[in-house]
Amino acid sequence: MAEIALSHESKKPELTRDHILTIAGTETNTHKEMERRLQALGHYMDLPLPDRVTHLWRYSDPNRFLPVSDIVPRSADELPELLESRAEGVSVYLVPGCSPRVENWLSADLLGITMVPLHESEAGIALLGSAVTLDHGLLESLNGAVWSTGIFVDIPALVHLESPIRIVHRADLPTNAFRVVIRVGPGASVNLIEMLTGGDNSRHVLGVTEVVVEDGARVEHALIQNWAPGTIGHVTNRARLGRDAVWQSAAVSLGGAAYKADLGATLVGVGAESHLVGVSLSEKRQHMDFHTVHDHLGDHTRSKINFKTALTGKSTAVYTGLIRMEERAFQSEAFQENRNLMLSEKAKSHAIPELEIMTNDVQCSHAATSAPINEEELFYLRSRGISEKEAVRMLVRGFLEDALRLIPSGVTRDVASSLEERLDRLAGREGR
Amino acid sequence: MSWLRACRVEEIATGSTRTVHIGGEMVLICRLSNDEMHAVEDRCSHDGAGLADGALHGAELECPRHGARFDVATGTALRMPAVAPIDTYPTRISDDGWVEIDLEEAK
Amino acid sequence: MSKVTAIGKLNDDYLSKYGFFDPEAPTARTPKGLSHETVEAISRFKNESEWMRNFRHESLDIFLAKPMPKWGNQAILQAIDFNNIHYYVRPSERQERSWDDVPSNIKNTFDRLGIPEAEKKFLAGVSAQYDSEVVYHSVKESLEKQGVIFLDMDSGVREHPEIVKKYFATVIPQTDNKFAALNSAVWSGGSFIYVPPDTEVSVPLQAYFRINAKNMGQFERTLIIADKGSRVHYIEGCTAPVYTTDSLHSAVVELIALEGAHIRYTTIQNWSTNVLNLVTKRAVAHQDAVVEWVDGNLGSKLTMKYPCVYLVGERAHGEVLSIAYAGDGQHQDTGAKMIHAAPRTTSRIISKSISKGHGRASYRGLVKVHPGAERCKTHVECDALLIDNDSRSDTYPTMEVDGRLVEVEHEARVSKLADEQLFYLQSRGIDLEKARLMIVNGFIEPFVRELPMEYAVELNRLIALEMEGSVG
Repeated sequence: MAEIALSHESKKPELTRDHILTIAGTETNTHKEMERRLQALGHYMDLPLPDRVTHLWRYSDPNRFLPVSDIVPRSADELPELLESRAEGVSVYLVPGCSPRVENWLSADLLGITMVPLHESEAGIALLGSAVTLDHGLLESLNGAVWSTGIFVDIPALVHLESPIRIVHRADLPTNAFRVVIRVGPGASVNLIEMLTGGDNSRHVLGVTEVVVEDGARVEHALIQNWAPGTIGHVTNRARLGRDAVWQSAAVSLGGAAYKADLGATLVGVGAESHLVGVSLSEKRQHMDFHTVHDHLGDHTRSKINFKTALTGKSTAVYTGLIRMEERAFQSEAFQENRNLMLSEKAKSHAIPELEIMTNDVQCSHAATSAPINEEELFYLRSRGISEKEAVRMLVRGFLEDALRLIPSGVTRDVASSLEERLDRLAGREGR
Repeated sequence: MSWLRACRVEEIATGSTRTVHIGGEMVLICRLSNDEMHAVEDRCSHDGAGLADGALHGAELECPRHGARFDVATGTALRMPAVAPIDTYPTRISDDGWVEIDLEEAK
Repeated sequence: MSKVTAIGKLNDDYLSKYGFFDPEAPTARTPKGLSHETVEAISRFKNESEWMRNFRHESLDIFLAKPMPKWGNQAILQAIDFNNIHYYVRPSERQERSWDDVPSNIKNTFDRLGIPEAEKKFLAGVSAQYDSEVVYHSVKESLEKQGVIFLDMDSGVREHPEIVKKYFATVIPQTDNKFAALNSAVWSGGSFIYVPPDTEVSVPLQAYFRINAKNMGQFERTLIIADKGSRVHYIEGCTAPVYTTDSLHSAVVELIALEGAHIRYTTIQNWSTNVLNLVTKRAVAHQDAVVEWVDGNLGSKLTMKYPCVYLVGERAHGEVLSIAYAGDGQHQDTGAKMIHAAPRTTSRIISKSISKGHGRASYRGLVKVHPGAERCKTHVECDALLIDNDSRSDTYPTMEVDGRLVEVEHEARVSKLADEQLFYLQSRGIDLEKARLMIVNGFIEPFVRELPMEYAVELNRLIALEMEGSVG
C-alpha cells in the first residue's frame, strides 16, 4: 500500500525545549551545555527548510535527511558487547544510548591526550560551534540541539601520536545523532580516523565533527562511510586551521541508501593548508551527495581537492564544491578536481564546482569531468587476453589511483576488503 | 508485471492530480476531465523538481515553474523549456475502486 | 477604459474611450506602470491582430503571478519598482537632451572610438533619429532577391503572420521566467528574420539595426528562423556606450536552426550604468545544425543573461563565446546553457571575464545531458581576470549528466595580471600601462577574433579606454 504524500509543504519536525531536556538529561549536564543546545534550537526554529534554489540542496531532498523518530536520551549505559578490537591505536566507540567506550587508551594517555564524553567537558562545550557554527545549516543546528553521544578529544601542544585514533560511530538506533569536538594543540601531530558503520533501512544518522587545528599542528584525518544498505545519513565535518596548520582529510564512501556529507576547512591562519581527497563508489540506487568548502581567510593559504566517484546501477553522485577567497587571502592558491566515472546507462552525476573570489592576488582553478571508461584502453587490455571484468576492474582502479594513493595506509587497511568487494561488483555485469 | 495500489479513485478530483509515494518512486496520478486515469513520474525533465502543483489542460500537464508541458498518456515533452520525456506507468482501476499502477512496466 | 496620457500640446480628449488608436499620433507613450490597459494600448498603437493582443494579456497575468527569482543579485532585483517605468515609448519620441549636457568623458569616448558625428549625437540621446536608410538600401535589395525576410519584429508580425505564429514563443514560452513574461506582454521592436532553405546570407545582418531607435528599445523581441541548410550571421548592439533613461531592459531572443542550418548571433552590449539588462536568449538546434552565440557584455549596472542552445537533433552543435567586463558599480552575471537532448551532439562554452575596480563578474552555466543523448561531448572553459584588489569574480557552473557514453569537461581559472608577464614586457621597454593592456588584449583575443573588423577595432579601443580608467 502506498503512502500518500500529504502535501508538498514539507515541514521541519517539531522540536521543543522539553525534547532537549529529555535527551540531555537533567543531572549530568552543565549549564553551558544547555545554553549551547538552546542556542542551536533557536537557529533551528529560524532557519527554513532549504529549497532547491540553494545549490547545496538541489539534488537531495532535505526531508530525506531529517530524522523521523525520536532521539534516545543520553545514558551512561555500557556498550552491551565487546566490538571488534583493534591491534593498533586507540579506538573509541560511539553508540547512541550508551556511553562512549574507549580502548587501548594507554599510549595516548601517557602523552597527555584527553578524551571525555563531550557533555562532561567544559572545554569541549566551549569549543562546540567553533569549526561548525550552530547556525551552519538546518541539519547542523538540529544536531547542535539534539546530539546524544559526543566526545571531546584534546591533544596538547607539541604532542606527536604515531598510531591513529579511531572513532567508530555505529548507527545502532533509529536515529543516531553524534557530535565530536577535537582540539589539536599548537605544533601537535595526530592521525584521526572516523568510521561510520552499522545501520539498516530504518536508521538515520545526523553527525557533526569539528576539529580545531591550532598553529603549526598537523592532522591526518579520514572519514570512512561503510554503512549497511538502507541507512540514511547527513554528516558535517569541518576543520578550522590556525597559522601554518596542515589538514589532510580523506573521505571514502561506500554504503547507505542516501549519504550527504558536508566537508571542508576554514583556512584562518596565515600559511594554513588543507588537502581533501574523496573516493566514492555507488551502485544500485544509492544516492551520494558531497559538498566541500575551502574558505580562505588568511593570506598565503593553500588548498587542494581531488574527488573521484565511480557510479554504476541507477546510482547518483552529486558534488558541489566551493572555493572562497576572502578579501585578505592574498597570495593564496586553491585547486579542485572532481572526476566522475560513469559505468552504467542509468547512473547520474551532477557537479557544481563554485568559485567566489574577492581579491585578485590569488590563483584558483577547478576542473570537473564526467566520462565512461575509455573504450580504447578497454580494447587494448582485452586484446591482451584480459577478461572484460578484470579489464574494467583495472581501469576503475586506475581511475581512482591518484586519489587512493593519497589516503593514509592505516585507513585503506580498514576499508580494504570492502573496497575490493565493491570494485569487484562494479566491474561485474551488474548494472552495466 | 506487478500492480500496486496507489489511491482510491475518489481521492482525486476530476481534472486534477495527486502525488503518491509508492515503491520508492514519486508518482503523479492524473485524472483527466473525461475521467481517464494516467500516471507519470513526478519529476519535470527540465529542472528535475516535482510536477504536483501543475495544472491539467486536457491531456497535457503543465509544470508550474516554467510552463513546460507533457502528454500524460505518452510522457512526451510538448512545450519548452522541456524537451525530454517523462516516464509513464500503466494504470488501471480495480473493481473495488482503487487506482493501481504497474511500476515495473514504466516507459 | 484605457487612457493614454497626452503630453504637451495634444488634445485632452484624445482618447475618450476604448477604440481607435492612431499610430500616427504625435505622442505615443503609455503612462508609468503596468496594467492590462497599458498592454492594450501598446497593442492598439501597433495595430496588432487579436492573436498577439491576447498573447500579451495572458503574458501580463503570468508576469504578475510569478515571483521574483531568489538567486542572482538580490539587492538590485528586489529594488526594481515595476510601477515606476514607462513600458512603451514610441521610437520617435525618445527623450532629447542637449549636446552640452552630455558628460565630457562620454564625448571623449566617442572621439577615441572614432564614432562619426551623426552617430555620436544619436547615441548620446541628443538626436532622436538616425537615418541609415541609405546604408541599408543596397543590402535590402540583395536580401529580397534571395527571399530572405529581414524586418523589425512589429512589421514581421504584421506582414508574415503564418511564419511568426508557427515559431513565436515556441523556444521561450511566456511562462518561462518572470522577465520573459514581462517581455511577452510589452515587447516592442527587435528583429524578425527568416532565411529560406539552402540560402547563405553572406553579409552580417546588422548595419541597419546597429544604431536604430527601434532596436535600442527596452523590451525587444527577436525571432530568427534559419531554414534547412541555410546560414546567417546577425549582429546586435554596438561597442559605443549607449545612453538611455530607460532603466529596465528585458529582451527575448529566440533562434531556430532547422536541419543543417547555421546561425551565429553576435551581441556587444554597452548600456549606460543605470540600466538593468535582464535577457532571455535561447536557440533550438536541429539535426546537424550549428548555433553560435558570441556575447560581449560591457555595460549596464546589472546584466543577467545566459545564452542557451537546446541540441535536439543528432550531431547538432552549440557554442557560446562570451566576454564580460565589470568595472566599478557593475555586476555582469552572465553565462551559458547547453542542453543535450539527442545523441552525438557537441557543445563548447568559453567564457572570459575581467573585473576591475569594484566590479563583479559572475559566471552561471548549465550543461545538461539527458538520458539517451549518447556519445555527446561538451567542453566548458571559464577564465576570470581580476585586475584590482577589490575586484570580484564568481563561478557557478552546473553539470548534470545522465548516462554513460558521454564526455563532459569543465575547467575554470581565476587569476590576476601575472607579475612575471608584466615584468617581462616592461623589461622589453614597454611601459606598465601598455603592458597591462597587452595582457588583457591577449586574454580576450579568442573573442575579439570572432568579431567583424570594425567591431574588433572599436572593442580594442574601448578596452584601452577602460584600462586607462578614463571612461565614465
